[in-house]
Amino acid sequence: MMQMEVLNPGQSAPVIVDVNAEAPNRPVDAHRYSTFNFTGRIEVPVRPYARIFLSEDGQYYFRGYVYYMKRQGEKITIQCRGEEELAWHRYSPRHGWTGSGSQTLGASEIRITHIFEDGAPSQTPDYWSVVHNSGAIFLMNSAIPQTIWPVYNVTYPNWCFKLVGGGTNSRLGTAPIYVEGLYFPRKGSISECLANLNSAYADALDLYIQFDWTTYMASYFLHISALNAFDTGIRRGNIDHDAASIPIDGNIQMNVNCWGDFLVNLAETLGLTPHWRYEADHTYFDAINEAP
Amino acid sequence: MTQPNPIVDLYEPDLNSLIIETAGVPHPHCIIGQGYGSRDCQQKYSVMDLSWKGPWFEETLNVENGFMDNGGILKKMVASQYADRQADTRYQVVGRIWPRPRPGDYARLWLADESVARVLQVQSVQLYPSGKVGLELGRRVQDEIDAFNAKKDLENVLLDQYFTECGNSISSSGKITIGDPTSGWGTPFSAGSFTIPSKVNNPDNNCRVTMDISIRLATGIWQEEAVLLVDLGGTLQNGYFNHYVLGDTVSGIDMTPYIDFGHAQTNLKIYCKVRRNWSSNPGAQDITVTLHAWRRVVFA
Repeated sequence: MMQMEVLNPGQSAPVIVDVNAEAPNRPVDAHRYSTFNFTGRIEVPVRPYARIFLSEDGQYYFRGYVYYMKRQGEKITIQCRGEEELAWHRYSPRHGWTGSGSQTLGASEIRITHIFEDGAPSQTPDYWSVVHNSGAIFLMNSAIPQTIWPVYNVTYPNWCFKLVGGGTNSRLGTAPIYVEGLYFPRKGSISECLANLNSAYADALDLYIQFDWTTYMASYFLHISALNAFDTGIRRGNIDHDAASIPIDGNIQMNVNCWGDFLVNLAETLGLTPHWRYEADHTYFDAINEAP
Repeated sequence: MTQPNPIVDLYEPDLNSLIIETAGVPHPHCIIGQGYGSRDCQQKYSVMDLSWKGPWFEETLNVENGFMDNGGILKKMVASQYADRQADTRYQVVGRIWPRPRPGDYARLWLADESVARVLQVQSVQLYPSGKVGLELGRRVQDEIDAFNAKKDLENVLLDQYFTECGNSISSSGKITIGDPTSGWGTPFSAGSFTIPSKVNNPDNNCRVTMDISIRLATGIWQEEAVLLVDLGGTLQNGYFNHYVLGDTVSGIDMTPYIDFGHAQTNLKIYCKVRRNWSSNPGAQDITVTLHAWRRVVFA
């Protein structure tokens, strides 16, 4: 008997039920996503987009969400896709990571592991002198979709923009804000925000960000992120290839439209085997030397 | 927006049957519209629902020749697509329903396990000999008529005539020295004097002025992450490309708000610097800047 955890949208804790279900389909090819289908009775309400986690004796076999649902009387049919599929529904803006090389000299030494980073950008140089690094998995889970932010206030040379609907009641909540990897502390009032360069403020409805013009000028679509506000559930797993010790020679550029393609393609380009691994807390992206 | 006024309440326990079915492709929570321009300067506009707390599902929509100004089609097409995709769940109910709604009316559906009702539009109504009524609420299943209508819409679109070049382009070539963090911006390229005729800005033209920048790297210099800056007017404010790759062509920068139509402009400068210090600055590189004026059909 498998345990199914059902986490409906908006709920904070899953409801756990026992189900007799066929095993999920888990392709070895990381370009493809796992699927899980179920038809029968479930003792809890299930909504479209509910997260579904399957485990047996503590071993997780599936982490995904309800993609299709049909309910007829007490019988329910759900078709679920693995969380990793959400990586193909995250737009990847143009981004690059620059390492050292013979053409240019670099003070910091970006590693492969920095590119796959899922955590918030470090605000002080790390062991390799890398600072303000926005990793691919961090951007995938955190980047606010690029759009027009209306100007709220201009006190030249500083500009304050407003994201309508990005307030504390939204899915952004009070998540830390980063602009191109730089932390923008949230202030207690809009006046405090306007008085401080590179800061943010949110009321219940909207988010405000004040930029330092001399740093950002009229940038075409800065990468503005709210930590894990758009969480896929994916985290960086095991990255081989001496990822932590070999610096990038040259630079790596985004040339695809979604993060899923980027993660899998980059791992394969490096000669690694990409793999999605389900654990109790997250789905981990591994890029490893040997097939799992 | 006014709230629809439901004409009937439907309670799940009173119904003979209820089928809830989501669409084969669920509705997106964000549609990112991608319009005119190359990757660095592409026109982008998103419609999203940040109040949604579940898994986040983004889609992109390519809008050919889309600009995000009020005279452009990018905002309209993204908003329209987003609205169309929101009704992704179909509710099929059968029961003794009175008053009997007509297609287009609204009904209030109370599910047994929910305390808040859903207000849904009636898509179709079916009458059974037994006196029961079948309603299709929310999303409607697409039929052959929809396929014919979609084809007809495509044939009616005049996209070929939507966006046409207005007059000849203006080009200027020269040299640019690429700077680095230590040395600063290097020596910018100055485009000399150019004039966009005032008649281009005729309201009937719904015009846009765009610019392409092409930097040709000397042999032995390879692509490098860089920042590119377009300055028209001396205030360094017309475009800052934070993730530019040295050597890439940037095409379709929307310059319209910064153009002084009918007057000579002599202060267009292009700056560039790589993100890491050069081990040895490779010197001046070839650069070409081209300005285009465009005429667009005005949609009411």
